[in-house]
Amino acid sequence: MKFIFMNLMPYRDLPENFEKDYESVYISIPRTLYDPVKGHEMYNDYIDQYELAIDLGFDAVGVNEHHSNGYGLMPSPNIIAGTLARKVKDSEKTCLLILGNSLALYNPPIRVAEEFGMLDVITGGRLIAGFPVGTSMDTNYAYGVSPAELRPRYYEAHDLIKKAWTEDEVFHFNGKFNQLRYVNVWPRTHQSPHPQIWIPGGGASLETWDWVAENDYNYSYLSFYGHKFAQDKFDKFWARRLEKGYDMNPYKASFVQLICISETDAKAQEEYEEHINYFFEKSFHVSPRYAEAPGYRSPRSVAAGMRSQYGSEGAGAQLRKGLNWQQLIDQGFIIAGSPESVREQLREASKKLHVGNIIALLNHGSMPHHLACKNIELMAKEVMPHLRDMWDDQWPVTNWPEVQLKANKESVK
Amino acid sequence: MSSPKIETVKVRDNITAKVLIKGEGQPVVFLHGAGGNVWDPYLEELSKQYKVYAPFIPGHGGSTGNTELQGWWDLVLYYYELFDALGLETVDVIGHSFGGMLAAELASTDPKRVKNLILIAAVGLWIDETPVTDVFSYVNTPDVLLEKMFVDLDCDAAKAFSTLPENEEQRIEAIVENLIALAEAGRYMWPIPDKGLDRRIHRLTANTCIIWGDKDALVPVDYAYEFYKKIPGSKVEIIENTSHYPQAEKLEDVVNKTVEFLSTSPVAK
Repeated sequence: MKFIFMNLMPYRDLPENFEKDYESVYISIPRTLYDPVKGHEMYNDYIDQYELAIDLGFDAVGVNEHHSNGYGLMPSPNIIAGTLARKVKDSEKTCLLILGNSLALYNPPIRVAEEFGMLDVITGGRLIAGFPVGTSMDTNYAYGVSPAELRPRYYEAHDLIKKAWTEDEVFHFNGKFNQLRYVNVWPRTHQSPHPQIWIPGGGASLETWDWVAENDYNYSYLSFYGHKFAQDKFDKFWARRLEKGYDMNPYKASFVQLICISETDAKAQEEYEEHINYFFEKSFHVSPRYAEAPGYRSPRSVAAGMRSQYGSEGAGAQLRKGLNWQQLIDQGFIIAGSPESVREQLREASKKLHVGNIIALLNHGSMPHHLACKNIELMAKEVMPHLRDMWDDQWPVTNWPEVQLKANKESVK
Repeated sequence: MSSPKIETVKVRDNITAKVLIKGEGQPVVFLHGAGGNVWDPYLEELSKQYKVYAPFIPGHGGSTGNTELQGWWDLVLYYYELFDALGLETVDVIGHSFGGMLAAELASTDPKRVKNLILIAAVGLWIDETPVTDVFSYVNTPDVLLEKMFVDLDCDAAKAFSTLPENEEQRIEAIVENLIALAEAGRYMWPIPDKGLDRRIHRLTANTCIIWGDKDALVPVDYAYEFYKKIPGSKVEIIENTSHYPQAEKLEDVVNKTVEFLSTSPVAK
């Protein structure tokens, strides 16, 4: 089992009645609510948290991209990745997961090939390249890409980047959306032929999963509604792989989980409950105006979504509404409690989902720095060591940089 | 109200259009708004006096070509070819909202193709002080959208607009088709429905009638006068107490004004 520490980098000081007084945490959140003096402290605390996670031996640290957003303050994940790159390089085997750059938003998209190339070389080949489509809020509303063009632009950018990473000759690219006379990306990536590619996304379609499998990528399900909400997606994901003749290696998939650890179950509730509530109530206060532009998903996905109670992330929000602490745990939205409880819940969830990579969210909403550090430390010392070898007797680690594959081979010996 | 005929028209070797057709007499083309092509009482009334052609935009209602066509100019040329395929060398065109943007562009790019032009609550121009509302952002809140489309939410037209089929599969199909129309129109309207008509509208020679709701909550009535200023000799008809769908909210009034304008203007051949 691999563990990735990820921090959404939320603005942790939204007004008390934010969800009542303001339309949305995304797109229309007033910029006057952002206090750069507090922001300075937050960024530096959050970078400290990443550095702590590297010191404590997480397999990777993960950054992601959001725009005009009060819960995700990495409009440029590559900048945060850049600040972490040297520490990643100096660590024993921690990798750098960017999950990722929303390809359709980069003009020209070879910018992604270049910056990822830089990070891969600086870290000595420890980069994992995440290529998400991006949310409708980020892509359609904040960055103005028309929903109908979003996916064609994404796939074209993907093809261009991949070619830029694998083609040794200078080449031209005459695409529908990108025309470049001379494509020649310097530096080339440290890993050969290129860094592992992971595809982060919401409840993807069968077509997306097929494409992921054909390319031998990892699929990372980025939902914030927890392991039980994710079950339906992963059941379909694995069924599709079997149907298409691919293996069931759990390292082909990752899932995101909110985790809260303290000395005892009771203390976990005492320490984390208000911050989890802040996360769901304030950080996730997204107006339906911007939640999904028409055309963001294919007509078939929309229709399928309407037929299932697990059909969309919006459905996750509905299912979560009004749940108390214990219900949030019982229904899998959060994994919380003493280290022992967390180990059990996480083992159970990973088994059921059949997933080899856990993207652990450990800093939630309004959490103070010291509590986030405590959560990270307990995760690294009291939880991860007990679950690390979960899949190793059955499956080889795949879709990771060499440093991790080597570590695994050695530990198996 | 009997249903119009749905005709499949070959526009190019690999592109076909679905066109609603009904009526006899002088031809008139109706270009629908971003919400999709709906045979409403306005079109029904017009079909009693005209031969009405209402094509679905590519990608919507069975019309193909949405992935072959790239960008605004491909779409404009496509419509000329569609007119050719329908045998309409010079024709009267009515455009509603997004359809108005398209109609104005067709009349500006090749002025001889459009004889009489009716723009109903058309987009296509842009005024920084009174921006066009981002209609797409209201699709997830149908109640709010309804309030923006109509002044009187209790009128029959508003009820017809907001009523979905009771049968679940039919309801899903209706919602999905509406989203498709929005996404396809969105190719040309996103994120701002201004593709430079302002720089070309001086070419327009069609007799033009501009019909607008005085309380249009999506495309403010200021735009009626903006079109009027840019189209010398045009006339403006303000429909009181209506919003973005005046031909539904004041059916008789708008039908009368349409017929009056088309019958007193020089007839298209």
